[in-house]
Amino acid sequence: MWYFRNPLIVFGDDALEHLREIKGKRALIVTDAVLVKLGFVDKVARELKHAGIEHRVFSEVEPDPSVDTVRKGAQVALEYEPDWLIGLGGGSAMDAAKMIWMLYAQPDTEPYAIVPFQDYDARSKARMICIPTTAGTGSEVTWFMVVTDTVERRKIAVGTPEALPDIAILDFRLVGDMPKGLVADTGMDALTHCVEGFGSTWRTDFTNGPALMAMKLIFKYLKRSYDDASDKEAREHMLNASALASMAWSNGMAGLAHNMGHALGGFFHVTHGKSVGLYLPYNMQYLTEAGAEVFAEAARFIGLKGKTDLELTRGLVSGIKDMARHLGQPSSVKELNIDKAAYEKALPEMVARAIGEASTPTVLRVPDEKDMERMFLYAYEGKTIDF
Amino acid sequence: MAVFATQEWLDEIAKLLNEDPAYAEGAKGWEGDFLYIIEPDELQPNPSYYYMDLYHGKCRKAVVLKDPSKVKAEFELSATYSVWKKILTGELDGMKAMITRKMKFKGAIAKVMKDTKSQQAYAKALAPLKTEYVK
Repeated sequence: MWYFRNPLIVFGDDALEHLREIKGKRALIVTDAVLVKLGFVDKVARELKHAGIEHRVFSEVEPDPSVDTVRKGAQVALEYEPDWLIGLGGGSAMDAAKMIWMLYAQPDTEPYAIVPFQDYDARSKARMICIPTTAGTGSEVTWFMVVTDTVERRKIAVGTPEALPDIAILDFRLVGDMPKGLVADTGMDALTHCVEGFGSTWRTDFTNGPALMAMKLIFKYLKRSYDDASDKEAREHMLNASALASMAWSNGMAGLAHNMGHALGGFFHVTHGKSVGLYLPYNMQYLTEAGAEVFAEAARFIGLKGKTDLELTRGLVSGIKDMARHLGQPSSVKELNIDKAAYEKALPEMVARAIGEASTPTVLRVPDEKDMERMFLYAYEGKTIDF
Repeated sequence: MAVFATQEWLDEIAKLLNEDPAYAEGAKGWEGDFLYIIEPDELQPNPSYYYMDLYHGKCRKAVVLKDPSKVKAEFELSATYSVWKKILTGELDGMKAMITRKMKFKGAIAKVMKDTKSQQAYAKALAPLKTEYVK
């Protein structure tokens, strides 16, 4: 027995207007200060007004939101007593909103102890809408949340099916003005989501469809979206691809690039998309032989040519590296200007954290500590994985 | 080969854990005891129970229980015999079993979540364990 979980997805250039249809009294909008300044919150507020719903804004979400921020947001929710939570922004804002929702329902819950097999009764107090303003995280369709423990410099990835938003609103007008750097980072995140979701041992017929479609869309539109901000078609398809990619991994599992990226991000504050995208080709090289049959299927679907599964898989890895290059993404940790001594000092803990993540046992070739350490080191230098 | 959830099987587990220096090292920060409940089903008509006390890299106790009310374990895991069998033979992922509520967990999960190192050491130490099942 297994599940495929998904929120109601509202998409298209007038998708935000769906907010006029919702029923309720009070909404708490969880977002960041930049989006308030850019007028995105006003756009949401206008629609809520049509629905007769009053609102309050919690705009203190920072990139890689901390446990303290989430607790603060939950306190606002407890005081305001909304019947809707609205996560507006990128992954940070949406993840924070989902966690605030859980803590609003169960204030004594420890954020790092949120698990899929306990009851939080979140919908007894409020329901959740997520509205992405970037195209990559896909948090709007998942029940996972990542917050940062700033004391231990650790990213905490937790989840419960209860944290799946009720509604995801994909209005591409909100991603039209994304700057190039953000398009690149979040696009690499989406690419990692669909590749890892497709390559997970938890893959199913239901996750394979969205994963393949997302991959096809990303290979077709990500470069265009990056090169030309006025390419509305590309921006819209990337927003859709982001959601599809996250449907795939969150109903299956993510993989090693996420585990290594979380570890790197916790220590060195590298953005999520940049860090997972950086490790993805190295992980795929590590998985090449074990995953050749699977990855070759994906390569064929996106139109790559090759005589054997191995050749097709290597072609897919090359395609991903080429994409990263085009987007100005680093191809090694060294290129991020991270000091090698500091990286090596953090290495034992990064290895332990990456190995300890829930998705490690679900990849097509499960690394031990030694292999994980070597992958971190090879990725630092930009060396092709040969073990 | 010892039969699942018998005293012989638990003795084998205790031996593997207590003789493994990697487990002693990996689980040195862990202390906590577990009650395992095997709920009845078509494979085993009666419930059975066993208890395990893991303390700083050692297994202090691993015993079959007749009466589970005699212990007050910090953590409790329960599933039917068939589900336990599927998990231990690798047919069913333990996490999936919990997400689908085929296996139930009681206790302060935060403590378990924080110590993945001891869980990995535990799984590694018990990898050589061979288990026989009733059917």
